[in-house]
Amino acid sequence: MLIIEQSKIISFRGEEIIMKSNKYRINLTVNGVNYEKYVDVGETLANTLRLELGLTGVKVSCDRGDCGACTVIMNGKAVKSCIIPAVKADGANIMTIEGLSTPDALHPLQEEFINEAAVQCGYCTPGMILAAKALLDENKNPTEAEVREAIGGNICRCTGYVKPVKAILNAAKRLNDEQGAC
Amino acid sequence: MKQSNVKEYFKPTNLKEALSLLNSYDKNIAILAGGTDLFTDDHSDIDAFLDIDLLGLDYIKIENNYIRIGSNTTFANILHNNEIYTNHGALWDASICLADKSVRNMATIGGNICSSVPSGDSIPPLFALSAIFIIETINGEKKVRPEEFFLGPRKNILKKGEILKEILLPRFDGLFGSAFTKIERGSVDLATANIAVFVRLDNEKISESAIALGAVAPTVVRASKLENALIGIVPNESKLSDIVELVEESISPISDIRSTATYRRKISNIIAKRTIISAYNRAIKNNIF
Repeated sequence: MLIIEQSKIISFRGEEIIMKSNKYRINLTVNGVNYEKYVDVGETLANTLRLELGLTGVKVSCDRGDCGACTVIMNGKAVKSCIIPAVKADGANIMTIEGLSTPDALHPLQEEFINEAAVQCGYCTPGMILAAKALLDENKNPTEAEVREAIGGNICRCTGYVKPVKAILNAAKRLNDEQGAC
Repeated sequence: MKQSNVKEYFKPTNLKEALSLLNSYDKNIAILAGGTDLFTDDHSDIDAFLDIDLLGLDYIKIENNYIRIGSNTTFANILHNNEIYTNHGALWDASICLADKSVRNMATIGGNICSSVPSGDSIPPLFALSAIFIIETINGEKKVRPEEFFLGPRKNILKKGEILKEILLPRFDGLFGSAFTKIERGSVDLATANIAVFVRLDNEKISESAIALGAVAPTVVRASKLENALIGIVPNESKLSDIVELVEESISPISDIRSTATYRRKISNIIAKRTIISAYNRAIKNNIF
């Protein structure tokens, strides 16, 4: 997994300077696509998804695991990507908000967030929707308390959580009515 | 970059390899479990991580006399365990209060213990439930009680080259119950004060108790005077009101960003009373919640 990269730069005096940095190769599947990337040990999964893979639907807000804007689904579980070392995600299967819809349609969760006006500034939304998706994947019929627990790590400054919770419960009902179409 | 200095990352596949690395690495190497504490802020003194994910320490094994919990077991997995839910209520209660669901998918009990933050929610239950910590070293295994393990805020007895491997929880019989209460400012926060209580009953009376408080002293502390005062009594609101004051002799709270020493002192009385009653009720119902 360890690759030592040597990058060459030319200083302003025309000298060649070789810089070495330890990068580690990771392989991960994101939204169904396989990637091979070289990352620093100190780098977060969030930044890697955003900057290396261009998936800017992953938001970084508090950058210390408190607000949940960075929430993605990793190996089936909702996790906070800003406090996960990218190297730790080697071999992982990840879903970001970009992977939730198909080219033809939004996911019912996304549609219900729109229908219920559960999106205001939208910054918490990708993370909150993914936390809800992870919940519905393990529990098709959550109670309101279970929904609130699932999004308990997603801070929203705009909505007061009422409409997001309603949207999630609506989406659950729709998905059940559609007989497991996810 | 979240960690400004760390350059190397190791992910050994067995404990022997891990211990060898920990002992031989010449710079500062930190053990990485879930990373939910270690990876939140920059630690510029750390040169390498040793990831314990592949050491097979993510398990909950039920044996005759003990439950064995691997140190790399996430709180999500602890919450899914029926034995812990039924018979180790204090640990279960603490786990559901800890952080939030997403964090619990990564956070481990070993990490919570080894971070040794005085407000760590899993810690008072481990005191109250008479847990034993199994530490693996290159020279063999050490068994340590929680009372011996914690030395101060973010300080414990683990030395370089040692790794917390497993937590043992004794399995109890007869009438027993445990409970946990957390006082926090908002909905998701570190504890302002927390408490775990374990009681064993002889008929209706308390025959044995263990009471541990967190966030009110440099480490989690046992409220020994209060524990002794409970022996032989059938607890109720008024009887407890007379004696819970004894809890104050075991604690030394400070004022900080979360609360004041005065509030912490007062609330310790209240949560002692509440949690003793909860633990007692669980014991009386013979663990049917």
